Amino acid sequence: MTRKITLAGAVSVPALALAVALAPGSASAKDYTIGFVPKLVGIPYFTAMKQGLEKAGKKFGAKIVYQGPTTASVSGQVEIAESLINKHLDAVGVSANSPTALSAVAKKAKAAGVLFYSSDSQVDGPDVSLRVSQADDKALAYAVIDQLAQQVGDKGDVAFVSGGPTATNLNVWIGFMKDRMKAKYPDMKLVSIQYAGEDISKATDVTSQLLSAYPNLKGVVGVNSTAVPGAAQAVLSAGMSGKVAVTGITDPNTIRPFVNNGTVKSVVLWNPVDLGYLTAWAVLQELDHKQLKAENDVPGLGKIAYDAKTKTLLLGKPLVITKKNIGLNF
Amino acid sequence: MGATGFQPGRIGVLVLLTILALGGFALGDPGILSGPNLYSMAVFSVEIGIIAFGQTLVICGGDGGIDLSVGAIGALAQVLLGLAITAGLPWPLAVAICVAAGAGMGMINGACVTRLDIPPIITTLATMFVFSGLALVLTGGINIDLTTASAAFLFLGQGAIAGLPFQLVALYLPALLILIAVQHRAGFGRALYLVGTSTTAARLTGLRPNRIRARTYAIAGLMAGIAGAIGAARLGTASPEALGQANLISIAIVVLGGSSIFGGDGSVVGTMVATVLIGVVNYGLSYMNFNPVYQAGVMGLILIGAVLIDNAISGRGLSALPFRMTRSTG
Repeated sequence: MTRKITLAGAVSVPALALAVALAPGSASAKDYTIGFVPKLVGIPYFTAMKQGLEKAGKKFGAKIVYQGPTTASVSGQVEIAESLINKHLDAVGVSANSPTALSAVAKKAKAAGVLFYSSDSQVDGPDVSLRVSQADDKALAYAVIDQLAQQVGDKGDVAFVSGGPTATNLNVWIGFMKDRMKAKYPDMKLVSIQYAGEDISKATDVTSQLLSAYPNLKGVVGVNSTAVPGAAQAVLSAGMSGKVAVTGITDPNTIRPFVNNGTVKSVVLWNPVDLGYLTAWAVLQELDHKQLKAENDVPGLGKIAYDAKTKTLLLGKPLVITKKNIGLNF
Repeated sequence: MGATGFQPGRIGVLVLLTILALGGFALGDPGILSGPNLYSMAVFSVEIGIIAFGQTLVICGGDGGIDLSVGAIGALAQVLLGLAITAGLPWPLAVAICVAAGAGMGMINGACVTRLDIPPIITTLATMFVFSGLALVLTGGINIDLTTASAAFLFLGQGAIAGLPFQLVALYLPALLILIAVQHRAGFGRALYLVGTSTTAARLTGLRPNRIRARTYAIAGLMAGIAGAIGAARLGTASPEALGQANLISIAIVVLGGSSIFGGDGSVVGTMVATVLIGVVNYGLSYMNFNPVYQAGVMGLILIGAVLIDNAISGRGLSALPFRMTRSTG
C-alpha cells in the first residue's frame, strides 16, 4: 500500500510534465508559430481575439500560441512573454498591461531574433516591429452618431452619458461625436453631457434625471460600456422604450438583454475577432518580409490603412451590433 | 529532528521531484534546458523565494504564526519606492525607504500579534487588506512607470553577474547563507525552534517568546520589502497589484519545504528547494503552453503529493494527518 502511494506520487509529476509537453502536438516544419499574450485570459473579449488569430492562422498557415496571465498583471504578462521568446517562436506579441514595462521585453525579443508586435493595447519603443490598433476614434464616434440619427429621424434633443470626466479616450470620442452632429445633423441638439463613471446603476440614475429634466429628449448616447446598459435601464423603467432611442459604445454581452427587449436598436464597437485575424495576417506579412503599404488588401477584411511612421495598422471599421448579430460572444 | 529543523527526507523528495519534472518537460521539448530558460526560471523565482524565507521564520515561531500580508507589504513598499523615485529622490534612498517600510510593516504585524494578542491569521489578514488598500490609494490604481529610472537601479532586477542574474547571486544566495547561519548556528535560531516547539518550555528557560516572534514578523516584512524593490527594478514598474499571489504561495512553499505549520520545525534549505520545484513547474507549464488557469491547481496537487510521499517514506499510512501533530503548544 505504502509503496504504491510512493510510486504514484513519484510518477505523477513527470508524467504530468510529459503529458503537457506532448499534448499541443508539433507544428509542421514550414508553418510559422505566432505567440500572443493577452492582458488576461478567460474573458470573452480576448477569447474572441484568439478566435480571429486562429482563423487567420488556419487560412494562411501559422500555428497560434495563446497564453496569458489570469489577472491583468504586468509581471504575469512579462513572465509569459519572456518564456515564449525563450522558446524562439517566430513572433511574440501582447495586448500590453503596461506600454513601458513591456518595451524591455520587446528589446529582449529583438536581441533573440524574435519579431515583437503589439495589438489592441500598444507597447512603446523602437523594438516593436508592428502595432495593430482596433478602431479609428473618428470612425467609431461617427458611426455612433449615424446610428442615433437614423433612430431619431435626424432631429431632436439628445444627451450623452459618459464615464469618467477625465478619461482621455472617452473625451476624444465625445469631441468627434459633436463634430459629426454639427456637420451632418444640424437639427439634432445636444442638450446635456453627464458623467456616471464605470458604474451601470449610476448611469441609470443620471439618465432618469435627464429624462425628467428634458421631456423632449429623443435620444441618449452611452459613451462607455457601462453607460449604455445604464441608460437603457432608465429608459425601460420610465416606460419610454421605443420613444427615446439609446445607443453608444459597448459590447454585445453587456447590452444583449436590452437589444432583445427592444429598448436598444444598435450599439457600436470594433470586432475583436477581426482584430485578431488582422493581427495574425499582418505578423505573417512581416515574417515574410512583405512591406506593408499605406493601404493594404487583406483577404476577408478589405482595405486596411497602415501608418509607416508609427508602424501601426488600423482595423478601422466599426462594428454595428444589432438584433441580427447580438449572438456575438465578447 | 526538531532540534535542527533539517528534513533530509523531504528535501530528497523535493530534489527528486524537481529533477523528474525538469526531465519530463525536457522529454517534450529539450529546449527548456537552454540557458535563457534556466535564467528566466531563476529570475522569476527570486522574489517569491526571498519572501518565502521570511515566511519560514514566522511559521517556525509557532503558536499559529503565519503571515498572510507578505505580498501586500511587498506591493506597498514597492509603491513607496516608485513614488520616491518619481519625486526625484536618488535611487539608493528610494530602495532604503522601500526596505525600511517593509520592515516597519512587519513590525506592525509583530506588535499586533505579541502586544495586542491578536491571533496571527487575523492580524495579517487585516493588514493584508490595509497595506494593499493603501497601495491602491497612493497610486490611484495606476502603475508607476520606472523604465526611465537610473540604469543602476534597474540593474537590481535586470542585471547579470558572470552570466547569472544579479538578484540571484547578490541578494538571494547571500540571504540564504545568512539565514542558514541564523537558523542553524546562531542563538536566535535555536531559541526560535524552542519557542515554536513549546512556549512554556521556552519561557521556563528564560527566553522571551513574544520578543522572538515579533522579530520574525519584522524579518518577513524586511524580506518582502527587498522582494518589492527587486520586482520594481525587474519590470521597471511599481504596481499596487505586484506580488499579490505571494501572500498564499509563500505559505504553500514553506509547508512544501518541510516546515511544520505548527512551528518549531523546518529549514530555509527546505524552503529553497521547494521554491526551485515550484519555479520549475510554473515556468515549465507555461513554456509547454499549459492553460494558466489550471496552474494553481497543479501546485495544489504537488503540495498534497509531496506530503503523501513524505508520509509514505516515513511509514505513515493514509490515515496519518498530513502535518506533524506530535505536540501542542503550551
